[in-house]
Amino acid sequence: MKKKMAIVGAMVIAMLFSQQAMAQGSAQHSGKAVGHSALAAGHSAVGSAKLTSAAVAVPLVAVGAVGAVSAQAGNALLKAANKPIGEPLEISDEAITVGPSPDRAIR
Amino acid sequence: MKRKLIHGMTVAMMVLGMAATAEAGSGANAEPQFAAEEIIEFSKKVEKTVASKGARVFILARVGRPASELPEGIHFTHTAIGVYSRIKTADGREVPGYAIYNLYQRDKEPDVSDLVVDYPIDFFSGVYELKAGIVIPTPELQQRILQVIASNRHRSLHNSNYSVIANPYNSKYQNCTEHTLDVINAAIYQTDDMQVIKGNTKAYFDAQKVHISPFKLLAGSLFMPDVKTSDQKGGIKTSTYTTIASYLDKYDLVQEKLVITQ
Repeated sequence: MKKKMAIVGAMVIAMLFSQQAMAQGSAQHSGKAVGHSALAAGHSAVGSAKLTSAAVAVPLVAVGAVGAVSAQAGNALLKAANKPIGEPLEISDEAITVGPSPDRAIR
Repeated sequence: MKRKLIHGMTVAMMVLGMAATAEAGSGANAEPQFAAEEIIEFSKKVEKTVASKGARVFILARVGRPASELPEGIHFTHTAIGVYSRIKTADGREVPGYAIYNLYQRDKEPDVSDLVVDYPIDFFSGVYELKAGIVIPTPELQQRILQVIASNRHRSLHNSNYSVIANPYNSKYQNCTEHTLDVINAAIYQTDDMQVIKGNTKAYFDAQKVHISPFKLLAGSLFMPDVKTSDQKGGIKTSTYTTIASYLDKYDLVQEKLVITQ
């Protein structure tokens, strides 16, 4: 019985070690989404900041290339798509986030 | 009595194991370290910095844990690709900005991943430190990565079997950094053939050696579903943001490398 207790005890210690070790090891690639934790919680404003929910993002690709922007894109976006890479680009000042998760959206 | 004690300790171990798993990631449920306004301001700083340099595509990394907890040679905890995009808002407008292409572990199944597009504010919302590692590839490589993503070919490079220490030289498991590397190599070699991609990775990419004791590794692989070692041979090797940056640098594929802090 004592032997069994010792084995279980050793496993608990190993577990405690592994938590620390793997928290470190895994930290290199800790790829869990964090977007729903702090900001994208279904609120349209956080403090004084107004959030904008994004529905979809489409890469801006020059006309004629695969996935090129459609004619529906605004003039400014069409121009941006066709600029040579390296020329400064415009960025919206809006605080854009993913939309809220279904459980939050339905509240 | 003794049986009950053993049972109790076993249950405690299982709970600890689950806790360890939950903590292994950058913490979807972690307490935010920064106010929302600070995260928004920092995210905009990152976006505007890369936009001022005309980057259509860049490699982006964040810090999800204290530097003191990171293994030697590891400086960032999650890597993804930023792409200049037209973003359609929920209210129907179109605005310019960067979308971030990520591979994320699932919260409830940490050994499974999904490809998720989010935005800089989401990307940085749970970080430990307001610090961004950025590599802007050369225009030609940016163009090629853009083509891979715009044509959705990056999705065919996704392997949902997740290991936090995935070996980048084979396709058994994949993590966020390896997916980023696979997309880069698919763009460089203009192929979706994973054998060609992995062959060239073996030939030219230097992975990070992870120094970890065999005892801890065994314990981790026994109790944490997202720690796998069956794809490794002769020590643990994995890809990191830093090794990707060094790889691109070595072959003259970098326009600029930056670290942006608050």
